[in-house]
Amino acid sequence: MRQYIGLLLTAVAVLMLVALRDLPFVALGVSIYVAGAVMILTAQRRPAQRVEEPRRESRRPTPDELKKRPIQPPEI
Amino acid sequence: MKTIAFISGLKGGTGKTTLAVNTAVVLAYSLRKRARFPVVLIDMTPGIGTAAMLFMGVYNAPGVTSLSEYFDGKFADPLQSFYLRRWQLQQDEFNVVFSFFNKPVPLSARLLGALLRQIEARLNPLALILDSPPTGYDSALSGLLDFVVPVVTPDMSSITTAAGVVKVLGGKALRPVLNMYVEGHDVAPIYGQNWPAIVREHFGEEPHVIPADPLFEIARQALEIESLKLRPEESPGLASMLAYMRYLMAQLSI
Repeated sequence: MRQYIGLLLTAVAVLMLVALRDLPFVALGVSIYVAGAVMILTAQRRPAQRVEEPRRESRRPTPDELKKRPIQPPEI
Repeated sequence: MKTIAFISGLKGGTGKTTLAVNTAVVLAYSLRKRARFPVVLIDMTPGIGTAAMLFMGVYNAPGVTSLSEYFDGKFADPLQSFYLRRWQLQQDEFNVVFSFFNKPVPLSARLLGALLRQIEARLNPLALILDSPPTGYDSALSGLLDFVVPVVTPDMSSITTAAGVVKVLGGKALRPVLNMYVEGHDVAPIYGQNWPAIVREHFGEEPHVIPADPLFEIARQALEIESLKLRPEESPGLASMLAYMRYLMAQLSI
């Protein structure tokens, strides 16, 4: 997502620099361009992360919980 | 009466008590309609052993008479040191008769043999289960057993001592149990083969593998019997133990 916002900012900055020649606007356009470029570059540096399936580990009973369980027929 | 001993040689902590207690409970339930007292268990560990603790549901029993006092000559009738544990299930019930030794006493095959004959004559159980203490080659159990269940852990000293003692006890040696096994722990680079193959080499028979199961530790901390409180689908150790009991019942043919 960050790189898309960065791309948008650099595009706006280029349009500003092409359309407006006054010094305050040029300074603002350069600032926006730099901010967009920084966003694109930092987003690209993030390593890809593996999406892991959540572990379905059933919780073990505590000794006290086991004590309170009703007995079951010990069938084989 | 079929006499079965769970033994581990001189090694303690192999899980023979867990197997003996659960076997007693499962057999007692299966045979509940066949006899008034279908199963008798004797915990032979000197001092109140884990089997007696599990049946009593308490971790100590001061002042409770045991077979130690009987063999010391404090009373003449051994049944004074036997106890009945009964479980009630909806419209059904079953029981295990048990006894224990609360202190070490000198035992011989002759004294133990006389006790076993009294148990058979007066309680008439279908199965007598002996939870053996760490046992050497001069065990008083020699010659008294119909079946021997060797219980070992993935440990070379456990396997060698149990394999040696099984040969001198007499009775039919059943499939050895390799207990608390962790499959991922590969020892082939050290011993040349993995634990099941090592056990097979020592006993001449494929072992029954019971995996290490943290739920067994939790059941022990709660002083509860696994087969009464755990479900096979949540406990791979219990599922495997029940599979061994099916084999055991087929061997006993009772």
